[in-house]
Amino acid sequence: MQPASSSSRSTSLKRGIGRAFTYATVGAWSLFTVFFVVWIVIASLKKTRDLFSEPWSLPLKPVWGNYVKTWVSSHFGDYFLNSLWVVSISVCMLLVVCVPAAYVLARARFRGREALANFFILGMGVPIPLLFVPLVVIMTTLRMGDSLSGLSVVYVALSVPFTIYVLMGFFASLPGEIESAAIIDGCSDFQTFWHVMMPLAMPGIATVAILNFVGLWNEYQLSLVLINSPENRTLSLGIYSLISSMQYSGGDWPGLFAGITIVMVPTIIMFVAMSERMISGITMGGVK
Amino acid sequence: MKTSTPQRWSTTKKVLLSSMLSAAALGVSAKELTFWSMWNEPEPQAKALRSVMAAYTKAHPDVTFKVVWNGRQNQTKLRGALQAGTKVDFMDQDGDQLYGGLQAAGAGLEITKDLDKAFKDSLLPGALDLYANNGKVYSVPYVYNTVNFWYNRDLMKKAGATPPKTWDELLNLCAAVQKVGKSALVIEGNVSDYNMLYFSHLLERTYGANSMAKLFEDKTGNGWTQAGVLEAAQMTRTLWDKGCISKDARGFQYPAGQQTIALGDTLGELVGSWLPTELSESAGKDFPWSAFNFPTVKNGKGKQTDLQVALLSMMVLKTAPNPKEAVDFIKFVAGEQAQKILVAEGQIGSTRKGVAWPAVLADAEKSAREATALSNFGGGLKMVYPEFTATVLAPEFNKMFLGEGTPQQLVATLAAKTKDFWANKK
Repeated sequence: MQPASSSSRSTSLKRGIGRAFTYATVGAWSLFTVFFVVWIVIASLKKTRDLFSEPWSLPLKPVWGNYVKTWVSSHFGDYFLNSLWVVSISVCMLLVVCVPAAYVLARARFRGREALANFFILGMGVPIPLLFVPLVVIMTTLRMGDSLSGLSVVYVALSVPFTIYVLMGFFASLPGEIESAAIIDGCSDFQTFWHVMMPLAMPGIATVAILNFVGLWNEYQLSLVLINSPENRTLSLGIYSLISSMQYSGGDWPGLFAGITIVMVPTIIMFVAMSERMISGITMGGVK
Repeated sequence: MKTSTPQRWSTTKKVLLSSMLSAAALGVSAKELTFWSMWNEPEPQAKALRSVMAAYTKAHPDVTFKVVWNGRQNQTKLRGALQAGTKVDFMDQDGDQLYGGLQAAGAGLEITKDLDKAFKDSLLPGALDLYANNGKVYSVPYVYNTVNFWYNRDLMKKAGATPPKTWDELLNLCAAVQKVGKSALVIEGNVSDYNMLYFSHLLERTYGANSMAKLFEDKTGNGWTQAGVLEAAQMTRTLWDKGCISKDARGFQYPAGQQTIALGDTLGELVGSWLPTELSESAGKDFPWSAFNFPTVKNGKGKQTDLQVALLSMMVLKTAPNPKEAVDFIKFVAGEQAQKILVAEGQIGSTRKGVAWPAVLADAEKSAREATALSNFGGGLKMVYPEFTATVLAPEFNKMFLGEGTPQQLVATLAAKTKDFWANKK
């Protein structure tokens, strides 16, 4: 008994040390991230000179005008609406296309299913910069160049592989008995999908919606290549134009940090509002 | 009344008819020029260009403008758009980027014959020729930036020093500034293009203006193994050894270094004449800016009045729908009326003789007027061989400058990589 007890004590000690290390690492990482997010918000409320002379101090007189200037003069209000529109539409279209497709690829049995699934997965490996020139040519030919709807179509097309790949995992993990019971009860294929399987996959659908929303909200390369008109700029292009105008025109660094804060707000709200559902979705996909 | 009514009708008809005819005439000849710009709409330079376009339209009512304010990625975006068949009349960008980009790709319209002697003579010496290729002109420079040491005049006075004329005087200046508890010079550790300015200036002061391309064009790589190159590299390291540059500056990331000038901790920086504008928010409007040219070196061929510049230029595209009007407009931009507007509203240095620069750029204006030779920012190698400069010269120099590697290693690497470059080019 003695040796067994000592071995279980040493195992639990090791587990405790492992857990403490994990908590310390995750805690440090979280602190690091939160610190810089808070610093950016604080920096956005200072004057340029104060920002560089006292970078760690709190702004005694917050300069809210930095936000007004960024929102109005630098057109961030317009860019915000553009981003919101293009990303929301893209995510909705993505779900409309990918949820049924992933369901069929995960649950149906037909010839070529695996090849089709692999084809989608292959799409995840294509480097985006390789597509710049063909995309510009195609979108211009379709008269969709330099438009938010064109950008939205490209976003959907390029996000399909990842979304289908993730959703296939969710649908594959759902118990087949529920599907069989629905069919025995007289549901058609569509009714089984719509009334039974899709509600069960909701945590997974929420997860891909959030991941795509955040990814597309921060997307820069494609919008840089496909959008030319300033009135069609998205937030990431707006941030870049703020940075690039530092050379030759003078550095409005607090304005830049105000812009970054504006970009961060929607994703933070989304994570706060939907993190529970997202975590449950990821756990569900991972465990079953 | 009876008689007056038909008369009034007749007058109204005449007015209407003549208005319609004028409108039709305007409709036939009206031209809308499409301009893709490197500025962002809220920038003062963009607003100044708007005023210039308005002035042009006032003088030429049949010409209007459609502007796409792309920001600094203008050329990158334009190249993609041109491939997709987008029609653009003219655009602007840093002259060296245009030279190595659209001009090298054959997308620029040659305008040599459109520029008469009077126009050429109206520009500051050398400005038009800087980005010409074998005498063929493809772009017109409209903003003049010089490269100098930009410094705090009050701090210089406090140190009891004067602008140095030789390298040794520069080192003495460093010592004088250190005595009053400040650093003489600052750098941005992550901006290799700025740090390269020391090396390129030392090479130009040793071998003469535009010598870097000649050193590189020795296909054996032996251009870099000359004694003067090693000496120049060693002199850049002396700046650290003598404490000219504060040791902290190694870790500065743009814009941390230049902000120390605004805060009064450092005397100055070797950089473009855009620095006062860049620091206007943090330094304030009354900051005592002055500038001096890079000093000479012992037994060097280069003069202190030889100047590195970065000119912003306008180019008409080969595929422009309205090339004649576009060429006329870019000539107008370099003209007296437009340049005065750009200086007043955009606070830029003018490329035209006789147009006074903003007061804060007075020293830059003097150096531009007195320039004995011009080379492009960084010695011109980036303009002619952008790939070698970006992938070998700038990063390798920066590593050595910041203390990773020796001047001897830098010279050996440059020689070997130059030889490889030319061998692979065959």
